[in-house]
Amino acid sequence: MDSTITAQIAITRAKRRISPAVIRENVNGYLFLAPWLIGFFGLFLGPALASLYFSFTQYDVLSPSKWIGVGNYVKMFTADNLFYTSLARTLYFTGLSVPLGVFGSMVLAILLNMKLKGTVIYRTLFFMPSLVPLVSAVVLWLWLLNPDWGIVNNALRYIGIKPPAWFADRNWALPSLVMVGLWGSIGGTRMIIFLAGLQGIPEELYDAAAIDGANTWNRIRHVTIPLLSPTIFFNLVLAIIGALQAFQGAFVATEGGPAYATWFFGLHIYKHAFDYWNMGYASALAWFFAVVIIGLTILQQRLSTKWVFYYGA
Amino acid sequence: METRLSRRTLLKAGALLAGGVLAGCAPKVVEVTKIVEKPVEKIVEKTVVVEKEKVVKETVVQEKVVKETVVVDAAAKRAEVKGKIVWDTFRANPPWDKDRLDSFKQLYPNVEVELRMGVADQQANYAKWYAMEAAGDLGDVLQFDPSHFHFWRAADKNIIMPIDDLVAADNTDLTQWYEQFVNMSRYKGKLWGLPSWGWSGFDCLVVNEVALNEIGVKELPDPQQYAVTWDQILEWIHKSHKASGDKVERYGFNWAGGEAGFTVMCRWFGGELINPEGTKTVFQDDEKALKGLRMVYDLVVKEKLAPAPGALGQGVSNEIACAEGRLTMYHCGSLCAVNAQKAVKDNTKAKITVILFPKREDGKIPSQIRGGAWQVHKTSKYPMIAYQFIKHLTSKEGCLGFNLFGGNTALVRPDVLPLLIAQIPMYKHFLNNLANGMVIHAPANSRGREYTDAIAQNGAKLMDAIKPVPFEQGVKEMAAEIQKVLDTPPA
Repeated sequence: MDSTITAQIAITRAKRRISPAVIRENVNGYLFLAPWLIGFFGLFLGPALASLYFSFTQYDVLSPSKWIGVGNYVKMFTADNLFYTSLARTLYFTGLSVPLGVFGSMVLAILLNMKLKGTVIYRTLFFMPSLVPLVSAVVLWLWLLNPDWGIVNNALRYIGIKPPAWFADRNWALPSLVMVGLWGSIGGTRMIIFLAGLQGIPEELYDAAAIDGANTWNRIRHVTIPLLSPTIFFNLVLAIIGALQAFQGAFVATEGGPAYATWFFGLHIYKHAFDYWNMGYASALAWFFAVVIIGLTILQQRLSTKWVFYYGA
Repeated sequence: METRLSRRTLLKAGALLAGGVLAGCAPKVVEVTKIVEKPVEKIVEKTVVVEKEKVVKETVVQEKVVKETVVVDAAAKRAEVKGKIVWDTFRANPPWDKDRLDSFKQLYPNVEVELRMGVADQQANYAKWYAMEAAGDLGDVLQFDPSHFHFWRAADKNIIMPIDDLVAADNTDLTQWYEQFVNMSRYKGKLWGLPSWGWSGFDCLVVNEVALNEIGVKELPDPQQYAVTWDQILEWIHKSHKASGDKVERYGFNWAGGEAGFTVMCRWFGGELINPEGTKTVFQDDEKALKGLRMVYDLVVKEKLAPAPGALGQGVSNEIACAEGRLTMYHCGSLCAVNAQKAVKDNTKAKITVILFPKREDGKIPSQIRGGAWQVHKTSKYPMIAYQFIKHLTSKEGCLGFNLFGGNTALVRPDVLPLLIAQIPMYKHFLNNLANGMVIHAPANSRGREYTDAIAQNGAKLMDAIKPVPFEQGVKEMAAEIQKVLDTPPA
């Protein structure tokens, strides 16, 4: 019994004694980690927690913050009509851009996955718009969609269609932003992820389907889509998060107009934070929205059990 | 071969190096001091001689000597002033800014002014300044412009100081600037700054005379006579508008969205957008204000004689469109008129002139003076130095250079106008408006940015020709939204 205890103590002591080499290795490890750790705690977690505190205060940056409890949260639901406007615009944008974007990328990836001549060139061409920064893309499209003499409207007039005024029209401004966003994103990283997913589907499944007499559509429906569902899910989650954070396009092209038509939630937060200097209220808006995004992501995660199929799992 | 360096040698070398650096830095200051001191001795001696000999043969000579003495005394006093101030600004204005720094250094040889450029975008720069203020790092000389609605917030938040005491101590003559531009910096019974840039705002229609010639208007009357009537203006807008089907070759008119534009529309016939106290919207119940708004509504929404937002092209301003012959006239002010004139590339397509708005029944000129101001930071260690510096920035030479070399429009001093008119004759039309224009009414709660956004967004809805809303409904909604901002607790 005694000898067992003595042996255990010896083992514990040996474990406690860390060699200088191990210490050096640990120090080096933490040194390499340091930039990320400093960035995470100093530039992300710190400000995020500070903004959580400020969301319960009246704070204009220039005066000391004043604790008002849930006042900002009450205000957003009861006294800020632009809160609902901006929320509605953002959800509309998301509802329009996400299905079109994800479906479009997937279709494009399926087409570009066919082993046809020149596929590599097509892949490059489709990917190129995603390399254009959104701000530049928006400025470019403002020219193309000019109501009076833009090339798009001239073409529409030529074929006898009365063109819309695009960004100048309250009803068309938001769809115009969706269109610009899709132009840049359909052939971008999302399509590349879909391509990777497609190339991970085992060939023998298609062969088996072909032997069973499945045509192209059936192969896509019963093989491609189920096996691609984890990729679809991944892209869907990212696309929804990205769409809900829409800001740049509206900030550059329309400044939220005309008549609040593109007043997104992100823009609403920005305005309150950096233009109106209601930093406390802006923090509350941001936290509310973070909760919405997290909630939607969890919901998608839960719903994914019903439609996402993990092959071999 | 290896040479070993002893500790003593190293210290010696260090001391020599430090001494050398110090010696290298010091002489400049000494030299400047000497230059200032020498003339003082010289002139003082002269004065003594004159008094001793009592040979005042000619009064003129005596006056000259006395004047020189005063100048030198002032220079000597200035040389005694020591300190360092920081000048925060948001736009590089070379070579004007360097000239101001150099010439101030000559006046105050022992004062150091550090120039810090912010970001060129003015609104983004204010965001940066507020953050700097929160961090305790904002400079001594600042520029919170009234026309960008940051002045009142800066005053309320104790960022800038009232300068009445400095003005009194310096015995500054405030009449050297146009009264209205000085008045822009008056708030709560105090003066908070001196004028920087400024122009007579939204007081005219910038006109392409070639378009009017085409419809038979051979010569426009002298703008300074305020002789053009509203009926004539409307007739010219209608006649000069050229369209075939959906395609518009030339728009007859463009309106000015935004706070200043809407304010002046309401002022055209004697109304106001909000009350002078900045607490209530008044336009919705005032027929005089509604008359102006309805006139624009009819032109824009009913008759579609103005371009939809962005229809002129991305980055194509009214100035460019007017200069290219695609727009007959648009609502703006002296700055835009000059810019449009500069934008003309083909004289057969455009010749720019202005129509000043007809005077109102009460004799006032429908307008809203636009301008900025230089201010002194509330906690400046050297407020008088900072004040002297802002005075130097907006002195006659400073103001002139700000226009000619800095590329700004600073029509804030009557004494620079003749010199500017010699270069740009267009400015002469605005002399009366500069002296007698109407000032801005700002929200009492200092929520100027929310206020301008509410006007711009709801104004765009009111004047939306694509999805029109009835005039009365648009006015009602716009008034309600602006009032909400005015009812918000102070910023």
